Amino acid sequence: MNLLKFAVKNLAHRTARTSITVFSIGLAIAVLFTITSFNTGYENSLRGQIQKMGIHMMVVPIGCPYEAATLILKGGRIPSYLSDSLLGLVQKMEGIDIAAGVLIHGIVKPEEGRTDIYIGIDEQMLALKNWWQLEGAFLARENDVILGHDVSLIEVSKVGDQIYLPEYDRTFDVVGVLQPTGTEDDGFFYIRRATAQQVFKVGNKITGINIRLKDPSQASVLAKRLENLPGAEVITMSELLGTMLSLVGTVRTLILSVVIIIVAISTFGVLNTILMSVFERVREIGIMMATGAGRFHVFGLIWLESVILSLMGGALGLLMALFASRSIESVVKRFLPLAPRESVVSLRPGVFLFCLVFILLVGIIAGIYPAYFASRQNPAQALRTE
Amino acid sequence: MMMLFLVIGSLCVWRFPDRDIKEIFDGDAYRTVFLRVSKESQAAIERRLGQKLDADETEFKFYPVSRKGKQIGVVSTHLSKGQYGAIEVVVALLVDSAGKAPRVKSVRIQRDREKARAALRSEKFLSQFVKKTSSDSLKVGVDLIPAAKGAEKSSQAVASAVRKLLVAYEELAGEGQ
Repeated sequence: MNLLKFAVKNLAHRTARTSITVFSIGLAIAVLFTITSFNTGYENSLRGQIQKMGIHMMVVPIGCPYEAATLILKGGRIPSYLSDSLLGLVQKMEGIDIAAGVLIHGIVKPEEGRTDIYIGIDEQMLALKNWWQLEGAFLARENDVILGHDVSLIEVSKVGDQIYLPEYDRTFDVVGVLQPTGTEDDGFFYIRRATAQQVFKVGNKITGINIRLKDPSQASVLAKRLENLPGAEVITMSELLGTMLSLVGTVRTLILSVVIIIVAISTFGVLNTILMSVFERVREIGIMMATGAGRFHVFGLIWLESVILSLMGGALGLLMALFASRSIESVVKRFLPLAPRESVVSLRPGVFLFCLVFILLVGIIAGIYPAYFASRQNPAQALRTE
Repeated sequence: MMMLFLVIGSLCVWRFPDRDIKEIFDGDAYRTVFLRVSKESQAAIERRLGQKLDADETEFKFYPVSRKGKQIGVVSTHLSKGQYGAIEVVVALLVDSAGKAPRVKSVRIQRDREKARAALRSEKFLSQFVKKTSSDSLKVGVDLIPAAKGAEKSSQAVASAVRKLLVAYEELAGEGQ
């Protein structure tokens, strides 16, 4: 009889103990599989949410941004601009996903009850604000305008209408209307940036550059590089980014803690079961050794039992995860902030493999001491054991 | 029965009430009344206008203006679709208790972005509405001269707003008088 068959037979001989151990390992592996899958999905989801935030940082001319905002709202012209050549530099920088240059111009006519804020944009803005839903088309021609939702209501205008800008004697064709965003975007007129530069006579200047990063965790590094640009100041959404990124770190720590606990439970469970089994079989081991089995054979047999027990538990755990992962996920989600509504657990082969390797290592490590203990038995003493 | 409802909501805001009541009526006070459009009055208004009311026109807001406690007129506002955006029209009506139909005392444009805005806001164009009543069709090119060549659409938008408010006031206020 080879060692494998012998080991299986030994485990089968103690059905109740083996079953309980396999079940407890299985439960641990099911939890491990689910939370590992969940963690990956949760991180991706949070990072996705950060990406969807749109603007991670803004490059503006040096000066107080609040003063600039006030000036715009009061109809003034922002005292300083950035050259749009900077935009090209920023777009080429490593780590920048999208850089959208904007030119903002406010026309305030309190005596007419009118405040028009024009935003000069290009296709990059559409990519940056990927949640925008547009009725109609994007700006293609010089005289095209897109109306924010509120503007379209105030001006009783829709796609196909025309909007006149009396102060600059310019007529625009309404090619698009933004669906409600619930943000300040609803209150703006959007025209092509080049058109805005020409109409508002600011040459090749822009008011700022809105930026989305490829990796938001690199915000501070990129901010330092951007601040080296001449005349530029960087405003980062660092607080929000930091909070979300720290959430990722916190969850990672939480998951690691759970994994450590699972390692301990599984290892000590297997160790305890196999060691108990060895204690009960000291006489049997003595007979094996007396009839010619070497210490290596005994070590291998016990070690193999440990590995088989672990693998059986692992297989059961993965099966359980297939059926119970959604329930486990719903429990985990209750304790996590910003948990996405949709399920983020997916049965990835990588996680499957990780769990198998993990439990194999548990079996190998947990089996070392019982196997060593068994292999060190003195056959003469072992045979005298009751 | 006159239905007065003090509810939140309006077709368009009256931007400069103090200035307008002083300049138009030499009035010293005004109040706000909401006249809800019942199904019957809606049908009557639409029949007389020859067009449907807008979806949000479930009530009209009127501002009775008074001098030394005596009502001397009514003001209302309307948001119309011009040729290049919205036109906000202020219509001042003379109303009396002698059974005479309400008639226009003055029309003002409080907000617009029309190309012919100077002509649209001119005395020459707006004075055409004075003394008009709901029985006047107020058709640009027939009863009224457009503010300028090419401004027919915006001129008609103003005229339609005036007629709608005249008819609405007659139907809604009359319903309760």
